Amino acid sequence: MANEWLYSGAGDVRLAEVLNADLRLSLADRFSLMGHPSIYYAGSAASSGSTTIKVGFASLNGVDRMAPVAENASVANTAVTDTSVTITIARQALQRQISDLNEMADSIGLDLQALINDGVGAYAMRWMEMLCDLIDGFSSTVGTTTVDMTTDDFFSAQFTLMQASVPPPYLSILHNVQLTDLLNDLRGESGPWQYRNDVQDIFTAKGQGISGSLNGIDIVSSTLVPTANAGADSAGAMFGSGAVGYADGTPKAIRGAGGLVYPAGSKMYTELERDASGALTKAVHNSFMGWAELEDARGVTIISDR
Amino acid sequence: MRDYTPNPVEPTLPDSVAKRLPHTANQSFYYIHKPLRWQCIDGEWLPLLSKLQLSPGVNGVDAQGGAQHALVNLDSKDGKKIPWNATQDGRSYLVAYPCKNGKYHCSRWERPRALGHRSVASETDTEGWIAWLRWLVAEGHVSPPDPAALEILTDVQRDKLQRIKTAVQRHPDLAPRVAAEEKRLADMQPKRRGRPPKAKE
Repeated sequence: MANEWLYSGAGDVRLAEVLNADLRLSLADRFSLMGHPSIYYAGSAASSGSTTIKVGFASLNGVDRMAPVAENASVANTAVTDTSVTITIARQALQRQISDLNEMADSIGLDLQALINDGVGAYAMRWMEMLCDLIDGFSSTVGTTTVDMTTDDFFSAQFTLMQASVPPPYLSILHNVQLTDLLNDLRGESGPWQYRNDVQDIFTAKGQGISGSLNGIDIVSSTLVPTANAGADSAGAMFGSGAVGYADGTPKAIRGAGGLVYPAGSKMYTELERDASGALTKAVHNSFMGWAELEDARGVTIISDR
Repeated sequence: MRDYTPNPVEPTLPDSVAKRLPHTANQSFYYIHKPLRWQCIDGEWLPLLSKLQLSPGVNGVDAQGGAQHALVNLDSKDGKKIPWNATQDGRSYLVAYPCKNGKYHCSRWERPRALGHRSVASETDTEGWIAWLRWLVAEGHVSPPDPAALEILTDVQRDKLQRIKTAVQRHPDLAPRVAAEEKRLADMQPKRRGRPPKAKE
């Protein structure tokens, strides 16, 4: 036969490739711990007169105990010990820009609206990154350099906090490799502990973020956990509430482009900036936050092979 | 006659061919040391350093990247900053590599690696790193360890060993781990521990 009309010969009316209707997000760590009770929120610096919030600590309510005093003796004063830590907030921002031509040709929702929505994830991950920047600095440490994390390291961390009288709930942030090493070691556990629901449940594959809990301690994995020993190790951590804290600045109502008003108290706000001459539109996300290690003794850093 | 020949500089390559790491950009940092942070490596007590990220908003670093508040916070926790030029040859311990959205900062003993478009675990110059840690103590940038701090760390190791010994009664295959942890504990004991390098007067 001749003159068959093949695909290879229909180049004028067929496309070399078409775009799938779904917009798929590339693989990345997108989990943050916002809202977890173990993270202390020190408040907003908005309208406070400063970009620095001082978190004060006082030795009250049991730190100094009563002492026996003779019936007719006068009692001397016991001084109150006070300390403080400052949290300085700073601007955090992300900007994207898209051309009118690019937006016009969009068919899968990768447009200006997608760039605006991107701000939420960008804020959450910057929040998580700033938290992870703190956790490698606790004075107490457990684990061994270049050795995989084990269940014993987990227990060592928990016991360190218990011995320091740190009240629960505890939270453990581990690098993904630390978590998988821990799960691998858990496989060999025996005795009554292996029959606990949380020990068995932790092996179930879950989404990003909270991987389960052991002994009532939430375990979270993040690729943002910092390195130690020149990249040889990961520096995860376990800590109780009050070990680390953050503050933010929620700006006053802002009149953005086009008369759009952002209400006061918005933790993250997005503005659009138009470049008519270049046929470009910017989406600018802004937020203000700061983090600090509040009480060193409430946390322990877990060092293990990366 | 005056020579106007310029010195060659690094060429600016188009994005499509420029060599960049697939890593996410991060901030520069100081290494810091706290009195309780020590690690026993092959029978030698060496400082376990952490990082003070110079990231605005983290631990007191201000909006311009200034670290005054951060260093005050650090000082209140008995922490000590290691200056960038505190190395055997005086060059900074901090290096930076171009990456996809800025620079990736790390120590000069860490070599970040990429496999195609993926970032993989960095390569570490372990010998150089340990030599530097040893030098920090010898030169006085890190004070020698307090025996009380070493005792705390030794107790943690002793408790860990005891737990494993209890577990090995049910799981004999854990015996190699007992031997490894026993050696680690033995390395930490004062009689086996090498004399820490003396700080310079």
